[in-house]
Amino acid sequence: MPQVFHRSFNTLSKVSIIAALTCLIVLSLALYVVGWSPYVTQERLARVQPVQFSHAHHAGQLGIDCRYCHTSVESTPFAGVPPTKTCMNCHQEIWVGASVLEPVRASYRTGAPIAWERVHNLAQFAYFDHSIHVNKGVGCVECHGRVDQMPFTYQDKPLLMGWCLDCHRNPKSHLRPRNEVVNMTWQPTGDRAQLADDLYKQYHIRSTEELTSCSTCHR
Amino acid sequence: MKECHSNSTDRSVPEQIRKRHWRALEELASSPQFQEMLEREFPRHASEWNDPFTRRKFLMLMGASFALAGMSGCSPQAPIGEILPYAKQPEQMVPGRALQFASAATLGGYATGILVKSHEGRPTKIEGNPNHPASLGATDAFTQAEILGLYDPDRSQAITYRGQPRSWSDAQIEFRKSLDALRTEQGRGLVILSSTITSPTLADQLTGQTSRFKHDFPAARWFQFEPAHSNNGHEGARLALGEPLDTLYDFTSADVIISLDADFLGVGPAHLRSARDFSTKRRSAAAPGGPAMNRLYVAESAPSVTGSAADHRFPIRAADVEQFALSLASELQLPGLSRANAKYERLVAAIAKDLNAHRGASVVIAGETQPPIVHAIAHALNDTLGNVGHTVRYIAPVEVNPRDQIADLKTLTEDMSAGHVQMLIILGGNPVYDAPADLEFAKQLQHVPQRVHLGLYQDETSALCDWHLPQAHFLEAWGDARAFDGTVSIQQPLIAPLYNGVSAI
Repeated sequence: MPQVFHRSFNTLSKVSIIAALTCLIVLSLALYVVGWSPYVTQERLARVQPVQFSHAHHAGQLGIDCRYCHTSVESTPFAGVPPTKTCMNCHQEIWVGASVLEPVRASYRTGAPIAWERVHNLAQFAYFDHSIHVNKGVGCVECHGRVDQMPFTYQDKPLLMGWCLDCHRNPKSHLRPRNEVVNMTWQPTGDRAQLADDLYKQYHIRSTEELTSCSTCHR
Repeated sequence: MKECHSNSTDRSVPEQIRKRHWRALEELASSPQFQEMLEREFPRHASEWNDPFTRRKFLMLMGASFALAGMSGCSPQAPIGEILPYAKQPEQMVPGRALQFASAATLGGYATGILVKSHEGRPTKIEGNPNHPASLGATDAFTQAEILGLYDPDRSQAITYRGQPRSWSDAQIEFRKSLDALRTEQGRGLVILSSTITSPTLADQLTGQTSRFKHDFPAARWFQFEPAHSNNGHEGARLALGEPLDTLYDFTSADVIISLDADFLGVGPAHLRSARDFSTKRRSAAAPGGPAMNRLYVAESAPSVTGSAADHRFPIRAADVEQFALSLASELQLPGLSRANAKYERLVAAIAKDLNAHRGASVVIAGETQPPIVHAIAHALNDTLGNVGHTVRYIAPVEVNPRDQIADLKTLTEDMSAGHVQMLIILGGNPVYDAPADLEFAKQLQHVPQRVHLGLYQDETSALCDWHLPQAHFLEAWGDARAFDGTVSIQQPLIAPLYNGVSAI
């Protein structure tokens, strides 16, 4: 009985097995890279806002404290987007007629809210609370980046679960004294490791097991 | 195989010999219509797809477009939503943080103090108000469910006249016309039918000194009807004390409690408070060195919450409770009573002994379903045992006008059938559905020329009324009501009326 397959099929089958495995590995690597890429996480994507509000100007150049507008950041899960009234506190005195501020004035006149485009969006199944982070000495800059240098507000970090866990597994190096939380340029002085240990104890940061427990964030 | 095949097709075999099976009567009759139907794939009037664009191709394209529609979800650059802050943020309002408002929910007219949780101006949860005497922080299932009632999409949403939507000004013009006509006759023929009212404000509007209703329509009448209402307690008090008083019990200091078919831990306007007081006494007794534990005897006709908490539970027929009470009374030497019913002799002897040992610290409580005489016996027993002033207190009735509502409704239906009622205004409730069937309320209602219904729902009553006005939920309007012990509670609105409802006030 003649052979069904030609001799060359031996080589061909070996090569195709290796090729298939390689393809699988390359594909999954590609998926991983794409999944973490800013294209998917929407990092550094400046969104078009109804008012061209510049954090670089207000927080950076003018040095307005974050908490002047984001009032509830220390006490509630939601940092709070300021009501139009907060804008008008200053803008009824300065830049009164500026056309760029017309949506703000219109909102104040009519009572209709300004529809800001959301920049940071966590999945609904992840619970996040601003107040606990701020009160435990995690600075704004840790998650939001150099907001004081953003003419347009964008998301600076990937906000992926792996990124959350990086810090929850090793919180010490991300801590700072509570009174430096809003400082964008704070640098530790002296013994960095000693300070981290001190703050970790002082603020009663929970153990890594508790911080990385599923139900800490997925309630 | 060949034989078989030829057998079914061979034309040479005569028709009569070939075995013919028929599968339907029409086939046996073999009418031309049936033949046509057999030949056509689709019925005659079904549209046929003569397009070159076939069904198969259509499904293929649809499937592809669905799959591609899913792909659009993969685009990560799409907007992720808006944040809409307040233009002027109300004081105390912090987005993401709930506020609590004190209000009161009513059931059968009686108030229970509540705390309503509100997220960004929307009430979301009802819990008891710890500072309210009728609640002490507890609520019942009905009160919990009120939040669902508020957002119920089946609530009536528009003013209607015989089912057709009308504007509020239309209704006002119409009512003014009718009321002006009635005013010239002192309001004769004008009747208001409401549910049980404890609200001081409504009471003042209906019967007060400065009431415009009273002034303009002196001959108008006001009836109340509540489907689950009993006047037995008031009648019993009238028999025993001469006045229809309300009775308050202090279960925190009662050592022995006799319930005569009273489910005081499970139902009634005071049950939350009673349950809390009763269990407080039990718990404090459990503490080392605490007071003696209370003892609960329950004679009841159906299993109840109170019966399940009883130390001694006697299942007896509802009709026998009176005999049981009389036996107990004669055992305790209440004057003017014959000897105890032999059936309960041993039982009441033991209870009487316990009661005698706890004079001034016991409670005899009669159930609302029991006739007035049982209530009267309970009052007499409490008096004999020296409980009045200690564990039992009497207060003026909380209801604005405590009456036998069934008798009143009977009067009303008789008047309706006699044509004495010109205009009937039904404030809340659904009497067409829940009035006693013997009164034929629905039938007599149709003798009333002008019928107005204010209610939360388009129901049986509104179907028989000309005008229907959507009622504001108690979380949407100001109001007030009194609790079982007379505490006046304010109802404050948490949200503007969702469906432009109006309140009875």
